[in-house]
Amino acid sequence: MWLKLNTEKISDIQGIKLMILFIFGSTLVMGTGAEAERDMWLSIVAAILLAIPLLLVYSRILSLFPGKDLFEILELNFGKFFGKLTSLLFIWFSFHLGALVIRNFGEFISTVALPETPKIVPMIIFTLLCIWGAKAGIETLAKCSEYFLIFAISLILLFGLLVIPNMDIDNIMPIMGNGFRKAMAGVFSAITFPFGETVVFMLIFSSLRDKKSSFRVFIPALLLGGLVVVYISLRNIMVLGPSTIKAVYFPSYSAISRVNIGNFLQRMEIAVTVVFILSGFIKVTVCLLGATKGMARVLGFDDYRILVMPIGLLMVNLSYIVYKDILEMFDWAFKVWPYYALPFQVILPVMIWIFIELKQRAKNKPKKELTAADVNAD
Amino acid sequence: MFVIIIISYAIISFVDLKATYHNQDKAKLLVYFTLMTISCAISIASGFVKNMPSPANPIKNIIFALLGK
Repeated sequence: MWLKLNTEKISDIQGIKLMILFIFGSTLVMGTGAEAERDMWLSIVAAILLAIPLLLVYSRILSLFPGKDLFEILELNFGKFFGKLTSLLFIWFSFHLGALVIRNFGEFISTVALPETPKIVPMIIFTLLCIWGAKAGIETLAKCSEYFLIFAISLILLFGLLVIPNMDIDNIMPIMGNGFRKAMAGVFSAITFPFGETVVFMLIFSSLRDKKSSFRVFIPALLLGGLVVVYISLRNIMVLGPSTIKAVYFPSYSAISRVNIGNFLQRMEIAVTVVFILSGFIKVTVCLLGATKGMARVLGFDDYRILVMPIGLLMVNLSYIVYKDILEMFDWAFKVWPYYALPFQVILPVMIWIFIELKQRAKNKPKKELTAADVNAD
Repeated sequence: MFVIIIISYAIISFVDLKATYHNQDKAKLLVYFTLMTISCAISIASGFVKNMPSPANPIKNIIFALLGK
């Protein structure tokens, strides 16, 4: 049976779990805030604090129109033409982000596990799984995330403990030793990847059961997900050191590969792959859901599912042609992405929020004046 | 290569639409097949052309031009 748009509902807790896994996404394997070097963890903490107002803006926009997603909100406030035009920008961002995560996955698998296999093979298999997930809908995805999160957190904590003998506290000293400028570059990078990427949830969070609860989902998810990202970056920097962390593509994988308990517990890096597959699946599926729901809304369809397969396949095509090699991928991720993502994550949402607030106030003003006049007349 | 990609897309479309074909109106099917054809064409092109034009480079050039790098 085909379900209509906005008929699926998820609880606040499910929304938080979904968003935490989305934040993990490719951040846990690729790392973030690398510009800050040994102060990477400090930059991520600052990025979390600076991302709070940003996520409050996202929540505010959603809470002003309970039960509606961003596409409906845009059409209501900007009219059909400009609403759809702005929607297309967010659809592109969601689509592009999904494609980049698929490519991250392809490069990761190709580098660490299947160097002889063409990159496109794991990418297609992974995308077909995400297409299946998106067709199943957000409710199924949210239920999956409940189990995935327990599994992912358990693995992260367990291997965090096992790697303690390889940690060296001197690797994070002196704090702010590289200067304020590098730390700020790390903050900027960490805000746009991964915390600002949660803007994609504005496209799908009409599905929250409690219609006024977007604040209660965005902020706890940011804090909990961010805490894990800080912990992972601290672990990686203490195990690998700032010079090694710059030299490796996937720091978490390299850090966990050093686990060696009594020459018995070794080669545990597969855990990193498992966590990446789980969180990457959630991230790509959420992006695919955002893009397809948006396209369905723009085209005036009552159901998004017919668009999932073609848009998913276009996503995998884009992910294949988007970079020449892994070097270009990392160059783009660290040098271009922060600036590219800024308009979608900060400028557009803030402009939309200001416009909506002003429009709401203008709408409420005559009513208030009228009520005051009525009272005086009485 | 060319034939394999087209056959793969045909199978995927068939499996994907089989259960729901009767519930779909013509406009949806038109969009579906247009997107599938574009996707199939990109797949075929990327199988033959070594360096396909990527949106990453123009975006990078625009951003670097704006930043003055």
